[in-house]
Amino acid sequence: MKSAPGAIVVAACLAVAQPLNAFQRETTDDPDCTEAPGVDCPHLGTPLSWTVFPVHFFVNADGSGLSFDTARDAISAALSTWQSGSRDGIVFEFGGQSQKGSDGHDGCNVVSWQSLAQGAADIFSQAIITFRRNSGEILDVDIEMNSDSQFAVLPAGEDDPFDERVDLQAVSTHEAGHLVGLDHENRFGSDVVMFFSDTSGNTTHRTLTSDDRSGVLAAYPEPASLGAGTTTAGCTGSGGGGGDGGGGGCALSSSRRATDLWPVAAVFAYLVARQRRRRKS
Amino acid sequence: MKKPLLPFMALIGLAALPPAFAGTPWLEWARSSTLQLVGRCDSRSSRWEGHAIYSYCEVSALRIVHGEPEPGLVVRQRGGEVDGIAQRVSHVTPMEPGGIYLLFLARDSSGAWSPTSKGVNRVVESSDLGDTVGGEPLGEVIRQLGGGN
Repeated sequence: MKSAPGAIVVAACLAVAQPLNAFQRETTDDPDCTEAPGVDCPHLGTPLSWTVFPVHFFVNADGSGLSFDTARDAISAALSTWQSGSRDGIVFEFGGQSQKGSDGHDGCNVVSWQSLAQGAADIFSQAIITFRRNSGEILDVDIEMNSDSQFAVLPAGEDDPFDERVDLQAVSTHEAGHLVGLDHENRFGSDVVMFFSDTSGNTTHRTLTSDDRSGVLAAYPEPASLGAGTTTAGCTGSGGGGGDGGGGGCALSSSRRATDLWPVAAVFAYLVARQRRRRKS
Repeated sequence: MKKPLLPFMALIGLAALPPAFAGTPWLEWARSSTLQLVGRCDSRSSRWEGHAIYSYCEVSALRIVHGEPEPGLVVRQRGGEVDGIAQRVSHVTPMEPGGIYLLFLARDSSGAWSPTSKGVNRVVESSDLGDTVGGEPLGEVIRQLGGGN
């Protein structure tokens, strides 16, 4: 009976603790939903995933304000992060410099820059995912970076809300999460790469959290079987150009840090204090 | 020794409240829109337009918050499904036929009304709060937006 209060506290702790793996996967049937911190959207269909490896990607850095090499390196690093997180369950390969924009028809996965400001001035970037509705097979993912945002490769670890520059590697890592087939996870706080919102002057999203890693491992549990991979034909030429913004993408918002674990920390502190009192008595 | 337990339990309970309870910044979300209304998507169609799929919802305006929609309002969104091929844009909330939404709209490059980045917000009926959007009473949200009359 003496241990009852402790058991209650532990039970309460377990009750409020969030599930260890709460990652969200994009599926063929994701009903409409209003996202918010703490609110995940439902996913009712077949999870989306790539079936052909390596997944080739191309970079068109025109309008980025960065050199091609800088953009390519930051984007490559972002994709490598997911590849490592998946233990090579998904494998990427840089296909080359492209002159194309986004085109859901062509099978070329292109990262490009264009103005997304129309009706969506707070957008850093967005991913356009084309897939088979019946199977969930991903056919094409293009990533559109907003050329109205000031992209840079910030010093690792920077967290300066007054810096209006957007870290290309961090934003690319988030969008690459969509590319691998993950959706937003909003219940673990803003450190999760797949949190629905991002901030400028911050490199946090370069690094996967355990939840992000669990997500990509669930999507690609086995090492990828490498073949010819996704198409490279015609991917370095010009064409495409995407839509007209479309209203969406990863929004700029006020910085929000992860506070979800502090109730657990409070309980832990209480238990430690209680243990010390017992030792004294 | 047992007394500290209750404050801790209360603390845990308070801390466990979802951050969403802090409230949605509706004014910020609506800022870049020129037309704000509550409307129902009566029907939806999708088609390829060049390199992307677009969907069109015919919307019945149920309540105007700001702006003046023309009769036969049609809202254009990127994404949709054509012949078994679906396209989705991250962060875009697709409107569904029959759904009622608080919409924040602006003209896009084609001249059509298109939702802004947080411009599609589903209105759901709650047994205790009536119509709600983002977990808040719809009437209260409309008042926040300055459309209380």
